[in-house]
Amino acid sequence: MRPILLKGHKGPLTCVKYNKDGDLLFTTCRRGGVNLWYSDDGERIGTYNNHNGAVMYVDVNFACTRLATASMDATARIWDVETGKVLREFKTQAGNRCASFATGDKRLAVLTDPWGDQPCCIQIFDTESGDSPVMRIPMDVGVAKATRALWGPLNKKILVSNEAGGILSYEAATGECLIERCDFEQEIPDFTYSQDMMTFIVASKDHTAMLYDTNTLEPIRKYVSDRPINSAAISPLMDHVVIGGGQDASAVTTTAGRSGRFQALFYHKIFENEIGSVQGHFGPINSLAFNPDGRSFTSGGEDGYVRVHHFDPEYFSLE
Amino acid sequence: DERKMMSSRRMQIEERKETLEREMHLKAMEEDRKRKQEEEERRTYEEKRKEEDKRRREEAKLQQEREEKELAEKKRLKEQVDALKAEEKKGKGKKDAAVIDALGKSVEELDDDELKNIDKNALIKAKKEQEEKLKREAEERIQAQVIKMDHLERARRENERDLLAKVFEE
Amino acid sequence: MAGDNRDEYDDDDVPFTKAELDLSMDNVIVVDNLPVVPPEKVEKLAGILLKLYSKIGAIVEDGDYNGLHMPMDDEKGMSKGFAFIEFVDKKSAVMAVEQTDGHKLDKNHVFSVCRFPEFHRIVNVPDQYEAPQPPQYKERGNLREWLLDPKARDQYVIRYTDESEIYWNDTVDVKESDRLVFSRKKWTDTGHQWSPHGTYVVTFHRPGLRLWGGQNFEAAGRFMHNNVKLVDFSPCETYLVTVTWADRASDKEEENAIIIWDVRTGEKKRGFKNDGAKDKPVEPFKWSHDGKYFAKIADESIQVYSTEDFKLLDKKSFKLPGVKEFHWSPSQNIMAAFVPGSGDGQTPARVVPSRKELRQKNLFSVSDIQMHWHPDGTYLCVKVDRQKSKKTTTYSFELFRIKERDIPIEVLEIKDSVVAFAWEPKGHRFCLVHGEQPRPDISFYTMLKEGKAAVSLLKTLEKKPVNELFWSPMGHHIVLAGLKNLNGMLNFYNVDEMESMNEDEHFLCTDLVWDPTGRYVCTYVSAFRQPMENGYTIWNFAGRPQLRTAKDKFFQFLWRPRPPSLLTAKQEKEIRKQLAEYSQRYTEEDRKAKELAETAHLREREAKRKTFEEGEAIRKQLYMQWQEE
Repeated sequence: MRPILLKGHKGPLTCVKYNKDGDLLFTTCRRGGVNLWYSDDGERIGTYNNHNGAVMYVDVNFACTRLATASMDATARIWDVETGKVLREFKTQAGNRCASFATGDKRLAVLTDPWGDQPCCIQIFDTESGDSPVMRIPMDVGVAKATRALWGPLNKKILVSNEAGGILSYEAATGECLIERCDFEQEIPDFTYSQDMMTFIVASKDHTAMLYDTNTLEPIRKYVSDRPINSAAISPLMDHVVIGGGQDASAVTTTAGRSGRFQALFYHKIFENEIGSVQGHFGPINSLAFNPDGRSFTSGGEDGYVRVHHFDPEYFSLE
Repeated sequence: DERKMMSSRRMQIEERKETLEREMHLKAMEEDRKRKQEEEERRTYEEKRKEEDKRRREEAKLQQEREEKELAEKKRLKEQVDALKAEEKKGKGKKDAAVIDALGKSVEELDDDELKNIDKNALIKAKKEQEEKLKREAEERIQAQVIKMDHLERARRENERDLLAKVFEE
Repeated sequence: MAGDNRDEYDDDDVPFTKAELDLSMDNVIVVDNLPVVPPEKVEKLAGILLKLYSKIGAIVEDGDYNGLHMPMDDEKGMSKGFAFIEFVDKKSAVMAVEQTDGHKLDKNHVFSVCRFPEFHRIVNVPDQYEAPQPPQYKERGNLREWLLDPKARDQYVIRYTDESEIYWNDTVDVKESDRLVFSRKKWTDTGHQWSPHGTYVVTFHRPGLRLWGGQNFEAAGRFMHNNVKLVDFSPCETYLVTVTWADRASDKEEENAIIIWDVRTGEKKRGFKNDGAKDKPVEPFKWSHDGKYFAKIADESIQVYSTEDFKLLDKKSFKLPGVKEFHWSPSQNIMAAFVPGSGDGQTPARVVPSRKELRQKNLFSVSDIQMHWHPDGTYLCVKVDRQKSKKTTTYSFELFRIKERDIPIEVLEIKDSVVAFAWEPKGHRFCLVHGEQPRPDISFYTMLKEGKAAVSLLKTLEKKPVNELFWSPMGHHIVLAGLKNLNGMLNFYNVDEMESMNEDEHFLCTDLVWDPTGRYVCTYVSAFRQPMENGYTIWNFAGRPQLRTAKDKFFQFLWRPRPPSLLTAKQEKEIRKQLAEYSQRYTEEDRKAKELAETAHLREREAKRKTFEEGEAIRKQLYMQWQEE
């Protein structure tokens, strides 16, 4: 498996995301900036560059016409994918960690950090009109800071992860918290859905990742590693999941890459055993995504590189 | 008139002389040029021939060197194969470390002609195979040792168990 | 809010603490194994108990009720042999259990104390209920259960974060949960130690030590010694020595800085002052191989004590002016002592208890010496460093053949600087690391040249990244290791064949330990020395990795030692002769075990797949339903 190394960001990656067809790849960076690449050869198509702070998350709509970004510059934006023009800009009271299109693109859920004595909060905007949110779902005061807020299937629920290792489910219509559970001992930096959105995988700094049932919010499987996990993704093709992370720079004293444990690790989705690993990054992996065709995956690292890996034929004969 | 005639004849003679002389001169020049050319041609030919000779000699020398090198290489390979075979034999506890292979001869027994006839790639292959064989055998040997150690300890414990039971009763 | 507005008060505001305590009985202890006494003697016994326990914490007093209840057996008209004591707080109850479980009232009555909730739990499980018995662990049999393992495996204890775990070392694919023998959080304050025969594992606590043993590692002894820093067993496990060392000047006067105990009875045999250096972990005593004597250096002499009466042997110490160092032979009651002279030095070997000098050698211009006894006591090696000039030191080895008549000495001069020396256990060879770091040479020598007594060089390996030597306890094999600054290079070497069996690396590895049978080696990265890459790897002696485990804050790995074999030389020989037959049987057993493990593994996978697919079916149905919406 020969990786394609994408160099275009000047700082740590925060998010990598494929469009529905899997031909395009969007990446965001803590030093600001969003890049668009062809996913098969890594050619850069364009940039979306006028946020004034770290871009924390990127979402692309189903038709691949609109792009949503969440930034620490206290805005969330909707862009025209083709022209790169900013179509909408939502000003928020604090930095934003996540922005997610509802199915049908009418709504955008933006996760905003706490400000003043206000807790962090999901703000739902109308993508067509109005500058202020149509709805606000504040987290409970004193509850750990939320890290991701993503729409569930049919726009019925919004799932939220937080820094205390908790997963919460909110009723989108009422803003009511339906389920709250805490299965991890440490922060959840990221979670991602399976292609059909019926399951999702949660990555935690406590060295584990877990597969959940989206409907019941019950854990299905647990993947145990030896390193803090920053991101995880479910293969749409094989019964595999990939997880990645690594020791924080502050904890790594030796320069040797092997001691930081920066590989992307593959686990069997059902049997929970580690089946392989892919080396390459020399800093922790911050974000992982499978190509919707399941034939390649992408990792974005603290080292500022994006690595696109196309699987060898042998991979597909793995059990 | 006669004087005139005489003078004209003299002139004619002179002219003819001159013409003759000029022709002679031209001819001489022509001959000289030809000679020079011939000489030149001869010289270049000679040079070419010498060069050709030199080249041929060098080529022959190189060829010989190549052959010698090849032979040395083969000899070295064969020596290595022999050494590996000897090692194998030693590993099996056979004191007689004489070497038999496809030719049934060790490197010392082979003369150059015989060595020339052996395919180098075959030697390389033989070497590789022999190395792998040795590695495999070493691994098997070690594995056998590991199992032996384990089984010995198990047998000891099995026998010790009854003794221990007696001690417990006391 | 209390009282004045009763109608409105909220349940949460009422202080219910006391009621809760009463319910849980957290502050009550049960003292079992008391003498069974007639009613007229109950008061006396109660008085003794109250006196003992009121020292530990305040006991409830409420009018007539004095917090002590001793149930009577009305039929027999005698006490039932146990009592409840109620303390004012939970803390005292906990302390009371800590301090008096195992307390000896007299020869026949050793207290068994637990807290009431624990007692209650046991009593309420009818299947498991057994009348409180005197602790079974006093029997050697139960304590040595582990030696009978049908698979002939060995155990080890590991400690990481605040967890302690004991495992079987099993190389057939066995799950961690099946190998786990025992685990407990916060079992020990500082670390573990096995007794020399592996019968007990030690835990360290502020007030003292505890020993644990038996199948489930039940409490097997308690040795109260405040601030204990060190424990040392006599070689046969009969006695143990606990040590605290002088933190303050006044501690020097403490009569019980070092205590010698009887391991089985828990009886204190004798206390000693600690005259060691401040803040320094001194080795308090050195035990003779048979545990009959223990000795230390004091006042220009070697003081040898006998375990018969715990007094100085023959009531006098063994004068040896200037003595600096001594070591017992591992197999005889002989010791080697070093007496440096003014610029010169000598290393006499002397006999105890007859105090006869066996052999002495005067050595000149010595700057330092090190003594290495062969593990069987066959040889003694004295490494002598001589300072030739300011920069150059020369090295020599004085090799004593202890078991031969007149103890002949041979001298081996080494030109290089010597990094490490190690005798081959159960053999006649030794190995040296010498030359320039970080790639010194390694040399193997034998004490028997062609069967005759002569030191000779067998082989030298040049320029190897090695700084430590680890012989297998069975000899024949050695691990040539480059630990710490050499990043954990390992060479598993067969000394009989003089060939490397494997070269590998355990990155940043800090420690290496052989199992007691010479079949396996464990390398580990201890958080004591290295913050990164903590964890351990178990290899077979040929250097093939068997198990790798990464654990943050991993501190310790200790193989459980085994007592000396009970087999006679004849039996050993017989076993070797019949090894082929045994081997055939074991091979078959191994094959079956492997098959079994494989089918179990497959079955488990199938079960996992089944449960997952059931979930998937439900999800798929829901998905179809949602798609329609």
